[in-house]
Amino acid sequence: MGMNPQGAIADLGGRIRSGEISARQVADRSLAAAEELNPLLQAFVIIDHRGAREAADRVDRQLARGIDPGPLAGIPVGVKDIIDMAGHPTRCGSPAYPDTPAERDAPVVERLRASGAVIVGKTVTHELACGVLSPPASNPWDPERIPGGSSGGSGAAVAAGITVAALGSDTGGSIRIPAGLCGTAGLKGTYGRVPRSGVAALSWSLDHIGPLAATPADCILVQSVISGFHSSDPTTLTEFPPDGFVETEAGLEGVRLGVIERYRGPLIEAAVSEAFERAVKMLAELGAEIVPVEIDELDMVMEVEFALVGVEGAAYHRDLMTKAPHLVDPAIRGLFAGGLTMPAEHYLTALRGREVIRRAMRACFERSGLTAVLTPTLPGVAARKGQESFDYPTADEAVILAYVRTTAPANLTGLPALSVPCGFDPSGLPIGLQIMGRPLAETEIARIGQIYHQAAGLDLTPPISA
Amino acid sequence: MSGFRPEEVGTMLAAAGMDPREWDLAEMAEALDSQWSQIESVRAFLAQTDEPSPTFDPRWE
Repeated sequence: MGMNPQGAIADLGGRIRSGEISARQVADRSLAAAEELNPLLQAFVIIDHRGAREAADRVDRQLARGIDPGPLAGIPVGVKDIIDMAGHPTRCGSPAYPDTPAERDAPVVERLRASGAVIVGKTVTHELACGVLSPPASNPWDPERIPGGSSGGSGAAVAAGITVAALGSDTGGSIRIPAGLCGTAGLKGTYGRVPRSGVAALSWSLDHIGPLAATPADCILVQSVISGFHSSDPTTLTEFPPDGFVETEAGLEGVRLGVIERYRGPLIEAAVSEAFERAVKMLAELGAEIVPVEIDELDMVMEVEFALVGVEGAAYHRDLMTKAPHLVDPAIRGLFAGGLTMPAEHYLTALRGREVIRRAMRACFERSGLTAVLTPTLPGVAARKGQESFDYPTADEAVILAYVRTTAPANLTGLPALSVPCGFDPSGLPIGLQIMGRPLAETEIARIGQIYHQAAGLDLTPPISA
Repeated sequence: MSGFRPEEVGTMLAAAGMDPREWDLAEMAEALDSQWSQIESVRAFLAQTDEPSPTFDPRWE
């Protein structure tokens, strides 16, 4: 894997390697920012001063000896609190989880540490990674609004500049939703790219681990570090990890981008629609060919997604549901109770529906010769805390359904998908563009996203930032 | 109107290892009715297809 010359990790990593700033100084700044902003943002459940400083000092010692600490040398990162970190509890945003520390790091954490990353702390998750609000975390663009979820703390931490990157998980959009709402990039790779052992499950067949980071180039660099087969997770793919380097010089000539028509409206906020159409126009000006497409099978996305999450989540949390259901949020409890009482035939019907969607998506890519497809990451901007629905001109839609509708297709198909900021609404809230690629094409969608990111030149510093 | 009766839901919850006394059975009946009807819409879609098996591999080759 080559070093990535673009993005915030490359910039900061270069300064650390050159001796302009030490990894310890970077860690201290990140820790100070976390302490200063956490009372307002509630992005972290644990700020790990000792662990971060030890990791940073290790990087500085290696550099002093001429040893390469790895591609994330000295880079401050956060880890979602459903992922085991040795010596710290994994609470999953739930009062039902004990304070017992994890005995060992999850493989993704091992891989971060082995690449030189400095883990600043554990970030807030929506309860059991099953929701889009992530209380009590707040959005750095407006603390009265949600950061999205379920990886909401990771989105807030990265957007506010406390960390350069953070790990999230994504079962129906939980990396891309907070990325879209907080104005960061977020990448969910191909299903099976990243080992999930040592991570609390929500839905085994839909869960993905991946990065949120400042730019698409940063995301693919982190993704390249954490990807690859691991014997502890038999669902991991044996293919080589994606290249962490994006080559943007070649531009977008020869790139064909499908725009899924159903997500252009009418269930979309006006500002989101305008920002999305501007982004599509810019991608065309950058050389991409734009192809309108439609996939009728996406009609059943929500039914299939929630049937699978309900049953698999209920199976994973059965002990909790039978012994202490009062400790589970009522909405999640209802979903899981439905899963525990659902006939096996219903679950198999949902799996078959998933396969129909996957085949239809593949046929669309192949019929139109697509490199990737585009959608708005989400049909609305960050909701106010307590807001229950979006009021579009022609209809209303519950917040949870709105946020999952555009993102879940990538979970059901297993395809890689990236969210990259593409504009703001009139009140200054960020809007995301989703780029969904072919299987294993993470580097290509990151390349498209990075080219767009550089051309758009948006100021992505929120009012609350380090 | 729910197709499930509350006492029927209580039996289902108990069979799944849950204590029906901890649940609002009327509310749960409505939730189950919604979840089961959603599967009907998936089934209707599948009837128009070539009967896929419930296998999954994200790769195309």
